[in-house]
Amino acid sequence: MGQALIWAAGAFLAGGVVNLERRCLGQMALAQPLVLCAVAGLASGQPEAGAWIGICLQLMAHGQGRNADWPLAGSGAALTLLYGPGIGLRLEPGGPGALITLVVPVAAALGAQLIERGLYRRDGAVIRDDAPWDSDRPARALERLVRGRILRGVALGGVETVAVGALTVLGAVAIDGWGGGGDGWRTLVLVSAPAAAAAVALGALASHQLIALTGLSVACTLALGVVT
Amino acid sequence: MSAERIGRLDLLRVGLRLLLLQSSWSEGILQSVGLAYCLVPGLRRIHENRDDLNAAIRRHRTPFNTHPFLAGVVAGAVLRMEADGAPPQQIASFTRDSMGPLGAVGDPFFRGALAPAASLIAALVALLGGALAGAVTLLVVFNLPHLIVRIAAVTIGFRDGPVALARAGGWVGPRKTRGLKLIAALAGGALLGTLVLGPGAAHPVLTGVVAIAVGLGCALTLALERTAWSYVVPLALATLMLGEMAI
Repeated sequence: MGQALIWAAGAFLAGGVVNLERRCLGQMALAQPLVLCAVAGLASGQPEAGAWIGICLQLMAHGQGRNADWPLAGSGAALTLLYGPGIGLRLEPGGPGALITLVVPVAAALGAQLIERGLYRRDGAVIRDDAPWDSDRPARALERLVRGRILRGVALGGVETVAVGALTVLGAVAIDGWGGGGDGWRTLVLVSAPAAAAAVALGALASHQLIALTGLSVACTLALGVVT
Repeated sequence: MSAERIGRLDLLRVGLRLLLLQSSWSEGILQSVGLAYCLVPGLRRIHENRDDLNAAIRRHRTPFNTHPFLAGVVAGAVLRMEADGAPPQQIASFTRDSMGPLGAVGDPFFRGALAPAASLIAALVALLGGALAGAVTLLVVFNLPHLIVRIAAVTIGFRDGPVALARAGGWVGPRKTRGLKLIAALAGGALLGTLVLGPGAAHPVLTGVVAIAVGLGCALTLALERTAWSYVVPLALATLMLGEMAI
């Protein structure tokens, strides 16, 4: 219990920093999924799983997939990679545990974006009612407002990361116990997940994003079927 | 006039605050709070009188939204105009008129080309050389161009004033965006080819040939501006045929 609380506190802090970097502080790709998962994979002795999950999440974060909180997905997946070995969970690229480590954070990343949009709407209404420019000292009011938003972002990012990390670990443990799928299924996931993600990134370069996404995914899956 | 009052340290403070531009994004007023917050250190140096300072800050309450990496140009140019004593209407119209053009060149370059290019190149490197190499590649490819632009933006905006807008447009113009997209398509195609046949395949030469062929196919299709289907179908057929040959 104590160890889980320490993990939760660490995840809260890391998630807060990740959210801060994504939203405003630098936006220097430090919180991108490939970076987070690569580091977590190396630190937990699962570099291949870290690379596989990181590549998939990183490539999905473009084009039509852009409107989601990908650093949150990355931090949720990275936490699972880090926490897993301590409870006997080792992720294999393309395996059921790794697939859940993709699916749950992606769903969370989409959900988190809805929360953020709601906050933007509320913030807009708050500022319309009580604009910092109307204050006697607008400079101070602006500084106070920005500080408050940063602290809220850190807290929100921390809570979201803890929740996503916990859900992902639970899901991965549950599916790992089931085992599931054979080598053929694993190979299919191993190739088609990053291929579909690459199609999303390639689709971002062209204007026909959905068509590119669907077409390339189908092509890769078919090609895989022929190869295997 | 009071342009001499603003030193490098002040511009640095404005630049550092620009890192927080998006922190207070809100519906309706968009980045206005962020922009006004960034300008405060510079405006404090220009307007020593409190009423003038408050008036200068209140000029930026109208909605503002542009690409965050290029917002430094607007911030620098606004400070120059404030320092030169430009009429308030001129400053307001510059801020309003500059956000559209900067967003129009910034979004396609940074979001539509640089970010996917960095991810695709990094993913290819990660697949071939390991996760850490991929992560380092992502950081270098993404940060090198964007940090140069962000660092230069405030300084050049302040030095050149409103004229800096055209210069900033040149940094990330359509030709550079297109070139970057072609590189990204090449890397993405190579990634797909490598993925399908496997990086450690029994036929490394064939894998390399497939990767290069698919990469060139993607880049060529993008260069020729064909619709997606025109490259999806040949790509699928080529991959299937080459895949069959590999067995």
